[in-house]
This record gives sequence, C-alpha cells and structure tokens, in this order.
Amino acid sequence: MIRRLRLAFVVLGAVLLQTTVFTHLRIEGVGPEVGLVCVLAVAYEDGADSGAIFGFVMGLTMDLFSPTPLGLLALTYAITGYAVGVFQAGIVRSSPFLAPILGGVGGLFGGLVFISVGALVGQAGFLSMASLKTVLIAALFDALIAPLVFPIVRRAAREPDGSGLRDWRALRARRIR
Amino acid sequence: MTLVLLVITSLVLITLDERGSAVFNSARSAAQDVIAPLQRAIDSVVNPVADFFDGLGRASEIEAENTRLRDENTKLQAEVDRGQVAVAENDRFREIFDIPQIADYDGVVAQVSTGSVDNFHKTWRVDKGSASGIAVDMPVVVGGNSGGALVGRVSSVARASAVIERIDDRDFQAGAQLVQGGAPGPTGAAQGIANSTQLSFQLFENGTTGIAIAKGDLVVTSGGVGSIYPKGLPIGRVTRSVPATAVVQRDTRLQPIVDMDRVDLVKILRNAGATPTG
Repeated sequence: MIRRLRLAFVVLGAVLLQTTVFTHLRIEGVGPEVGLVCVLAVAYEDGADSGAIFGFVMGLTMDLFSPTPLGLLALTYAITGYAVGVFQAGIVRSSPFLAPILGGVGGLFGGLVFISVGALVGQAGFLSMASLKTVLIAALFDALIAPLVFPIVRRAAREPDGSGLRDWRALRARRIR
Repeated sequence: MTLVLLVITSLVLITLDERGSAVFNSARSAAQDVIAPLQRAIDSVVNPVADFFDGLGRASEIEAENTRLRDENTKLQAEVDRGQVAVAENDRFREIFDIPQIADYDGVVAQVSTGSVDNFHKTWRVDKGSASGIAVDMPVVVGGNSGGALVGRVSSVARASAVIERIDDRDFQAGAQLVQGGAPGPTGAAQGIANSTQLSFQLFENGTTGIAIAKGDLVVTSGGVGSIYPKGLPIGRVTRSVPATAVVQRDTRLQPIVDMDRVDLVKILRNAGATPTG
C-alpha cells in the first residue's frame, strides 16, 4: 500500500514536471519523456510485469494531458516497461553508467514504439525522418535526466522491507564471484 | 499474459478515443482541473526563471533587433503619409471580403502558461478555460484591434485552462485564400508540417491558366460554410515563389505572420461562428 502510494506520487510528479518545467527545457523543440524514464526505473527495479503495469498507468495518465489519443502512451510505456524488465534480468552487475545507458536505449526504444504505433492508429506524419530525429534527441535527453530520476524512482518502487529484485540480483552476483 | 491484457486494453481505449468519446473528454478536463492549481504554483516559479534565461540567451539577438527597430522606426516616420493610402486600401480590402474587425468579435484574452507537453505536437496551455466561456474549436488570434493574425484553435478545454493547437502543428488545417495586390486571389488549403515552423499552402485552381504565386503574398483564412475560422484572418506569407507555368507543383510554403515561439498573450474569439457584434 505504501509502495503504491509512493508510485502514485511518482506519477503525479512526472506529470507536473512534464507539463511545467520541461515545456521550457527543449532542444530543437524536443524535451525529455520524464514519465518514460520513471517507467524504465521501475522496470529495472521490479521486473517485466511491474514495468508493464506501471508503464500502462503512467502512460494513461500522461495521455490525459497530451494531444495524442488516449491509450497511445499507455501502450507505448507498457511495452517499453515490459521490454526493459525482461532485459534487466540479464544484468548481473550494476554500473554507474547503467542509468544513462538505460535511459537512452529505453528512450530510443520507447520513441520508436510510439511513432510506429502512432502511425498505425492514424497519426499523421509519424513515420518520417523528422520524427526519427525527434526520437533521437528525446532519447539523448532521457539519458541526461536518467541519473537524476533513477535513484528517486527506484527508491519509491522498492518494497517497504527493502526486498525485491535488486536484492536477488546482488545475491546472484555474490554467488557468481 | 499481463502485457497482452494491457495491450488489448490500450488498443480499445485508442479506438474509442479516435471515435470521439465524451467520457474521455470529460476525464481529460477533470484531470486538468485537478492538477491546475499545482501547475499554476509551479508556473509562477518556473516561468520567470525561464524568461530570465531566455532573455540572457537572446541578449545579443535582442540588441541587434533593437538597433534594427530603431532604424526601421526612422523609416516608418517618413512613411506615415504613404501609410494613409495603405489604410484606405485595407478598408477597401475588408469591404471586398466583408470582414469584420477583430475588435468586433467577442473574445477572451488569455496568457500563455506553457508550451508543448509532448514532442510531436505544438500547443500552448493558456490560463483561461470554460469558466471564461472558452470552448473547443474557437479560433485563437494575436494582434491589435486594427488587425490580427490567426495562431491556432482551442483543442481541449478545462475549467481554468485550455490547450491551443498552433497553426504550425502537424494537425492544423484551414481553408485559405491568397491575397495579391490587395485583391482576393485563388483559394486553397493551409496545413501544418511536422517538425517545421512553416505551413504548406496548396492551391485549388479551376481553370487551365496557372496563377503565379509571389514570395511575400499574404494568405488569409477563406472562411465559408462549415469553417471554424472567420474569413480574412491572416495566416502567413508565401516564402517561395511559384511561376504561373508551374502546372505540376501548385503548392508552396507559408511563414506564419507571428513568431510562434514568442507569443505571450492570445485572444480567443468566442463568437467567430456567429455574426460579430461590431
């Protein structure tokens, strides 16, 4: 319950940041996807299913404040969260560069899913070189903010008793050594 | 299995929203109303800081623009008499089009709070909403009472805020008309272009003789039955000439009249679809 409350505040915080602060911080008119980076952090911390569910909730909330069709960001974030959750199972050791790498690669993957699904549901002009450029810049931006976002969101996603996948990975790493 | 269920749910939501659901629109409005106070509080802190840094970054640009404007002002002083002729011509042009003045429309002035939320659309959020009589599809203009320029339309509205779709957004479309030498020209369609500050303008021509489009020609809204935009609102100026003999490509580009990234105040026309009260 407490964990869900913390994640709810993460969703609220991401929406507020995306609709206020990051409307000003733009490169070539492109800003970061704060919600997506939060989903990547939860997926890395908690695995594929949690990543998908949190991604769906975060995306649906973002859809309410975005001109895109309701459900488009929910679908994008759910798929990306699941993919990162599956990917993180293969990560044995943590690295200081993990957050920016995951932020950039996850942001790129999420952006590509978004424009692909967007084009399929009829959003005009999504499949274009201009959109690809937008996705690349956004992924770069996501990599920049990931080191700031990851620690906060991972702490929020952690179980109250501190258990979770993170401990499972640390245990496995110790056994391998 | 979890992912499959979430994907199916998302696709159902997308389908329902694309068909137009009042429930979803209400949910959007309610969500915006809920967080609006928090957004205003954050905006009150962030916006001045953003404006400060924006000004710093543009210091040299502002200085150059200041010098340019001083020079231009000197020239304009000498052109006041010639301007009287232009005013008379403008009045004739408005008589031809039967265009009311912007001041004749009942409008609401709103301040732009923030810019685009996502990376694929160009929108503004303004600080007035349905409580001020704003509704979806109302045209949005900037400019003084003697004239104005179209900058967008209301795409969604909550009680105390509204989202404006800008004319340089990829989804913008409007019937448009070319103005050449103060006289009405052929009609066409103006449309936003993805990831561009310009619009495309495509001509509809009935005859076999092409009409040359000159760089600098003005394009205005054509209005008409079913259009949400009143006739005669300036949209932009042609940036690329097209010769009369060009029969293959009869489209060109428009540069919006207004610098879309420097808009602070807008006027939302509340009765643009009705007879103006001027």
